[in-house]
Formats: sequence, structure tokens, C-alpha cells
Amino acid sequence: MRQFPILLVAAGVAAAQTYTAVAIPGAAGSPGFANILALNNKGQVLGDACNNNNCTGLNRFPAVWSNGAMTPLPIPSGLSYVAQPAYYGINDSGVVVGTLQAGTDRFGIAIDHVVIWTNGVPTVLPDAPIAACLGPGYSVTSASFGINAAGHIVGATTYLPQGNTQSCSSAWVYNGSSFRLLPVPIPSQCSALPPGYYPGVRLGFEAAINDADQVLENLVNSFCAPPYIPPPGFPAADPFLIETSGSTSFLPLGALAGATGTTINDLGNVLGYYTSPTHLVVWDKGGIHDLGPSGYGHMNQLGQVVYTQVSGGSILGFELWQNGVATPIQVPAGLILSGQLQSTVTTSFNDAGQFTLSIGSLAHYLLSPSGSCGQDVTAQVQITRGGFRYNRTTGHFTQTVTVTNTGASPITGPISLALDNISSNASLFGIAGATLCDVPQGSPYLNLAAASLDPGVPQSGTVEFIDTANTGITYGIRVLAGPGGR
Amino acid sequence: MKKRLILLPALALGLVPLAQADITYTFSLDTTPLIGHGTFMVDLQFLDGSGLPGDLNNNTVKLTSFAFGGGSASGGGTAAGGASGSLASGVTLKDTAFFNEYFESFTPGTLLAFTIVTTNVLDGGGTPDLFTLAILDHNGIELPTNGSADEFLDVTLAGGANPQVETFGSAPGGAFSLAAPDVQPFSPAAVPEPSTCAELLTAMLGVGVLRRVHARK
Repeated sequence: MRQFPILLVAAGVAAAQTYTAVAIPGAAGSPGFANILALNNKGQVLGDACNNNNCTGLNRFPAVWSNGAMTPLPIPSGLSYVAQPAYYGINDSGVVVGTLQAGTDRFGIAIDHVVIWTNGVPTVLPDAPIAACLGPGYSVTSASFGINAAGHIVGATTYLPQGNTQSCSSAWVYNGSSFRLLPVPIPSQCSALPPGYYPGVRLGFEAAINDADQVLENLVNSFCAPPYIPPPGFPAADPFLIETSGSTSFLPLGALAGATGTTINDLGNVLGYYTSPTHLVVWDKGGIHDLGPSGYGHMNQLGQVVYTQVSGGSILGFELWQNGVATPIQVPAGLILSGQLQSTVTTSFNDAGQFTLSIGSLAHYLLSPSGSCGQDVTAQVQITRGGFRYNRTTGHFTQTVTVTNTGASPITGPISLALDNISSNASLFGIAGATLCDVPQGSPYLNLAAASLDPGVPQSGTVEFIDTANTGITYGIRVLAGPGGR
Repeated sequence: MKKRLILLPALALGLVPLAQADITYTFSLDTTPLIGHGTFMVDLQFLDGSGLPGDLNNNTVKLTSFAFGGGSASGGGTAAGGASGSLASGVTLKDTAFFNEYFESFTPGTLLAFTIVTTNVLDGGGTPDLFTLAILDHNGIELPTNGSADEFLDVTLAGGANPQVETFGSAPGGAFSLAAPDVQPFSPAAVPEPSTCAELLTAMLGVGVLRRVHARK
């Protein structure tokens, strides 16, 4: 493959990056968030909301905050909301996935169902069919753990026996029309256990999915000894990936006794943690990275991690990590009052570099990188698109885009291609960020290698898309130029 | 009768395009470096510009007369979307879907050669249909080339007189070093085909009839 003229590298965040903060109502709001659950590239914040500090019954519900407006998500009849942050997610189309409770079975076990809100309208998903347990005599409960750009959902379903003896459980990916049940890799060390102990491992609570439909899960070790999880930890956990082909692979743990993965991005980078004390861990092409004592970390598609820095059980501040370098985040002066730091944590992060800080359930802030903006020079250039080809090695659709300065003067770089309104089936791969100050907000962009655009000189680059449905890819292009944000 | 009066002279002068002319190329790739390394796959992709209904089904790429220079095709492949046929019988790729693909195993000989016949209609959305060829190893992974997606051939159907043809050789450092394929416009011999002679004869007869009609009036 030839050298890509497009730099598929993330835009670094300068150490002197400053932020502006916008307040998001806390639990005392009417309504306001008790907890922030997720943030998308459009600046929409998904949260666990209350009314005037009343967080019980119908006064607690999921809601989306956007540009100062709080919109509760309606709860379908017969279901009720139970605050479970791990069950909720929002994608860049504003589609929300969550889990609502339908009641309990005869043993008092909660029966839940997965719900998606599209444009605020809820739809209850069917429970995943598991062949061995279909038929009468079961109560079925399902939960969601994440949603990707295409609206594919990762979740799990359990068939609880209500008189018969066999139970069934499986994690799955739902693509909008069908379920793909996910395999559980049983380490060979666990296959020779005494009767009643097999398989000796179980799935961890969380799961995550990226735009390529790769799924991150965790296998918790209850009875199986090392070496598949190195000593000395026992029991321990090991994150593993499930490809669309069904193949699985465990993440290397290095010297760790165990770890739990929480997030996977389109680069295949994984964010996780181990205890105790809690350290955040990143797996990327460079191996495994220990971010040190920390908590409440969040990773974006650039591989950046924003997190709460901890030492000796005390919160020191907040950092942004990328490619092995951690940079302190300068929170606007006066945002966190004296005595509030120890209850302040990062709660979400997006590709535009925005993140949320939560001071308990009292107050929340959306922090956005500030500074000058680049210029939209789309009217000064001619853009020519090549056709698509699917690259089996990368699993991406590739396309050549050529930009030519049609004016008489050079256009000063850096030069960025921002792709607007990408069809929901597709995601741009290897992004350098998402637009924030050049509207529309939340469009992913790439940087051209060219330092500038000289008049009449075409500059080409290859763009790559993830499109697991193999269906048409459409989008608009803006060319943004010059120093400053995008 | 007026339409006929116009039509017949026009036909005689060859001015009536009954359909956009297909464009023909010959393709030849020296596969000698692959000999003795097992089987590979020919991967033929034809992707629509947008996949939108208005852009579908307006181009066709036909690939015929496959030759392997002493090698051979496996006899059966995998088709997706608007792909059909085989390396033995010829492969037809229509943009009936966004993603149209045919791939089939082959045992390399000294060359991989075939004829390409394609239409050249630009899709409305500004992204052209693209026909590409790659060689896959036995695991289904592209042999690396200097193409942006490890392809040896791009044929971009961007309208105009001819498609845009680009070829690529192996990327440096790969397991195999293949030169970029040779792709040439197909130039038929100057001898008129029988069907062409028949059309000319019919047209001349038509002109003759017109003259007689005019003379009677």
C-alpha cells in the first residue's frame, strides 16, 4: 500500500489548552442530572435525571441535555427506569440505548428489556433468541451495554428457568434486525476442571462495541488457575475481543494479575483498569500502558484518555493522556470551589475534545477546548472524489479525495477535510478530531499532509470508512484551513 | 412519416446512438513471481458511487477471455451483489448494489490476462463507480501494492470519453514483487464486421427509398 498523503494521526492537544465551561443542571435542577452517562460528538449529554433533588419513582428518568435544553426520554408503558449507568449509551445520531425494568420473576429477579430512543421515541427491543431455552417455562431478561455509530447494540440476555432447570445466557450484538450471539472463549486451562466447576470462568458485567462491530468483554476467573492469567492474582479478569467472524483473542496482561476492559475505539485501542489501587490501563499498538493511580477515565476515537488523577486516595486533578504522554488539564479558575475537588470526577469525553466534569450530583460542566478557529475554505477549492474499494486487509472502504485550490493565492495549512452528515451506516476511520467551532459540530475530520494548498496544485489523500453493512456511503465535505481549532 | 424521414438519413450517417458505446481494454499482469507459491485469488470489485437508488444499475463491467499463462482457475468463486459468472466463463459485474464483488482462486502461471468491456456513466452524486482488481493470498488478504487499497487496477467510471485507468505494482518490501499490469485500449481490426456491413447496406437502401419517395412527391 502506498504512503497515505493523509496523516492518519490524531491532532495533539497542546499543553496550554484552555477550556470554556458550560453548566449542566445537577440533581437539584428541574430537571437536572444526578449522574452523567455519556457525551456524543454533537455535544449532547445523556444523563440520569431527577426533579428538584427528588430522585425516586417517576421523578427519576433518563434525559438528554443539548445546548442548554434538557429533554426527558419517555418511558414506555409497563416499564420503569432503574438508574444503571453501564446500561446506557448515545451515538452521534443521538440514538440512545438503555435498559428498563418490566418487573421481577417468581424469584424476585429483575426482568429487564433493552430500549432504544430514536429522535426521542422509544422502541422496546425483542429479547435475543437462544435456541436451547426457547419455549415456555422461562422469564427472559435483557440488558444493553453500548451502541455504536451505526446503531448496533451490544447486550446480553438470560433465560431464567421458572420451573424447568436449564438456564441460558448469552451476550449479543443487535444490528437493527437480527441478533448475533457472541461466543465465550473458555481457556484450555479450564477444560479439565472437576465436575461442577466447569468452565470456571464467567463473563464480566460490562461490554463495549466499536464501529467495526468488534466487541470487548471480560472473562472473570473464578476457578481456573494461571497461566492464562499470570500470577499472583486469583481470581482475576482478562479482557477479550470478539471479531465479527466469531474469533476471540485475550488482551495481553503483561505483569498484571488481572484487568477489566471498559471501552474499545475504532483504532482497536482499549481502555480498562485494574485494582487496587485503581489504575487506568490502555492497550494500543504500542502495547499496554499503565496510566498510574487514577479513576473515571474515558477514551475517544483518537485514542486520547481524559481521566481523574488520584494519589493516595485523593483526587489531584485531571489529565489528558495520548500516546504515552499525560498532560494536566487546566480547569477554568473558580469552576471547582474549595473543598469540591475530592468529589469531582471526569464523567464523559468526545472526539472534539469536550469532556464533562461532575461535582458529585450537585453540579456538572461541559468543558470545551477554546481558542481560535480555522477557516472554512470550501468555496476556494475544487473537491474531486474517487470511487470506493473495500480493503480486505483493513476491513475498510477506501476512497481517494483530491483538493485543488482554485484561487490565486495559497491557502495556509494545516488543511483538514471535515466530513458532514456521513450516512449512519458508515464511520470515518483514523480521525484527527471532530469539529467544534466550525459548524456543523461533531463532524469527524482528517488532516491532509500538505502544509498548504498552492493555486492549481491538486493534493490527494485516502479516506477510510468502516461500513459493516457494506451499503452505500454518502457525506458532504468541508475543507478547513489554517491554525486554530476545527 | 416525418420521423422516418429524419431517422433514415441519420442512421445512414451513423448519428443515432442506440446505446452508449462500451469501452474495451486488454489487461495483462505478469504473475511469474507467484509461481510455485500455491494458490491465490483474483478479487474483482465493482463499487457503486453512492449506493443510492438513483445511482444504481447504470454501469456494467464485463471481463472475458481469462488466460493464466500455464496456470489455471479453480472453477468456482464467490459472488456478491451484482456479480455473476466465473473466471472460466467470464465475469459480469453490475452496480445493482453498492458492493459488488467476485473472487476466485487460481494457480498462477506466467500471466493473468483478460479483456475488459465497460460502460462509463458518471453517477449523479459526484462519486464515480469504481472497478478494481486485487490479488489475494490464500487467506484472502491483498498482496500489498502501491494502490490506496492494495489494488493492481483502478478503472474509474467518471463519464466522458473514456474511464480513468490507473495501475499499481507491488509495494516495496512485500513477499512478491509484481510489476504494474499492462492495460491497453482494445483496437479492433479495421475490417468491418458482417453486422456493420449489413447496417450500412440497410442504411444505403433506406436512403435510396427516401430518394424514390421524394421523387414520387
